[in-house]
Amino acid sequence: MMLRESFLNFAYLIVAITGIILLSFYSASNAGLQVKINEINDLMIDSIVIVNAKIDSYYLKTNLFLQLNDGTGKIKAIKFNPSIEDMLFIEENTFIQVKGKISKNNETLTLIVQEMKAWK
Amino acid sequence: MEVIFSLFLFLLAGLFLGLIAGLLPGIHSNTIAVIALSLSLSNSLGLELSVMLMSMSIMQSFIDFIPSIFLGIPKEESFISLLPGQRMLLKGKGLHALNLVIQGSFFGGLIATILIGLFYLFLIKSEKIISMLIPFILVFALTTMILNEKTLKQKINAILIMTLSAVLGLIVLNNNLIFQPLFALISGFFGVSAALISINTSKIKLKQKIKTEKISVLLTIKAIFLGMISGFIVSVTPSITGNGAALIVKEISGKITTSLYLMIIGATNTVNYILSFIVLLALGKTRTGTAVAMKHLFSFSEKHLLLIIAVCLISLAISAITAKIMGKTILKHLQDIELKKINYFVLAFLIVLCIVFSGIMGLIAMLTATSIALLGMQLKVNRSNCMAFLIVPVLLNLLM
Repeated sequence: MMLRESFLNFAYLIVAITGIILLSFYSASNAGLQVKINEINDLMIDSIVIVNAKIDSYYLKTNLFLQLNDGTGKIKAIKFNPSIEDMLFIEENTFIQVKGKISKNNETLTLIVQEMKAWK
Repeated sequence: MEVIFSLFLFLLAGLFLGLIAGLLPGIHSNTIAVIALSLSLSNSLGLELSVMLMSMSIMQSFIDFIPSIFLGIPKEESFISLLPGQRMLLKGKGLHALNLVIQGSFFGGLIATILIGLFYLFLIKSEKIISMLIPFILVFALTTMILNEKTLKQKINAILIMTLSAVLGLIVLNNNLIFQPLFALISGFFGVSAALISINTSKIKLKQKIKTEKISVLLTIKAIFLGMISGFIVSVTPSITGNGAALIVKEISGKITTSLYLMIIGATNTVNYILSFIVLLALGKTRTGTAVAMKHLFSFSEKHLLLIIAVCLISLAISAITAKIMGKTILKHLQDIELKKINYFVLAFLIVLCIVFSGIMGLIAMLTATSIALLGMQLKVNRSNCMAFLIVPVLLNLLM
């Protein structure tokens, strides 16, 4: 049995479409990759991650500065211009889920918060 | 949406770079990988650049065969296709030779991608056993190459050619004075020698059949199977190239047709690149320059398996289509030129390139390799015996 040109072209098309679908799945599932704080490293700079952690401490100026702890490690998080809704559940020793971008400030890895919500 | 768009953009950029690296001799995806690594000092685009390198490697594994088969310009990953490929080219079947390689690459790569999960598990369990087997396979390959010669006189001549090639390989490959020593040796053994012979014997034009020939399903299945074995050997064994592994598989499987051999070589190269990503993921080891760069660019884990599969699938499909279109276009332009002129061009090109990349010492190595290959032709032994230049140093490297 011989492989026809049309079959090959069809195979290329199907394989490409499958790849694009899988890439979409990957992108959707990694819109925020769930990580533990001790997994965060320099190679993840600029990656979007989701962290579930306890608020060790916080202070508010124009921006909200948080010290997060998930039992595996600690990380500093910054929420620029937080809204009133953001501040509703901010309290020491409460658990929150934070989605944000890993960044490095003064040689320290920091989480630039995009979204956050209470986490139980 | 932003994530998929940026990943897709880098994937396409990688495919374009792979096309350039494949068509231009002397430029390898490893060189581009090093440049990509230096561009990413901030690590801010680690994942995107890794995607670019993956797609670039896959595209190059397809395109590499165009200069090898059509012009007789040997490339590091495809030079072993030069002899059977050029044989078919001289019969007017250059496009068919390229299609065989493309089909082998595509289906070999596709099956390797589908089986990525299995390979991942297998690698973790059996890495040590495989490494232990490699020296035996290499000795077996050398022995079979000698035994494949027909008469006793030819067998003795084959040993002579192998010894000369091995000695040259040991001297040049262990000598840091020559930059890109593999390029100089491969060009000498398989490029310059072939061009010289063609200049003396050929006055024909490269009249080629542009209509595509069908390839049988059975041949494709055989090629995938053997290509997977040799691609796997390359991806897990240090210091062995795709060509070396294809040769081993050829020797192990006994007499195989030129068509099947070309498909195996195609499958081997692409499978090797795809599995090198998995070897990096499973064992943290790097077998290609691209994998080395990827290791520094991004911390891959099981979470990225889906991304690797997606990149491989898209790259395989686009690479296969691009290689077919490029092959047809280039061949249409080449067939009106007298073969002798092409050979003169290739000869001058290889010599200039060798001087630029490897210097005068490289040129001396290339000319020595050419002499050994020409001697082999005069003694009427298979030119594949020259492969000892690579197999023997690798073998000694593994045993010491």
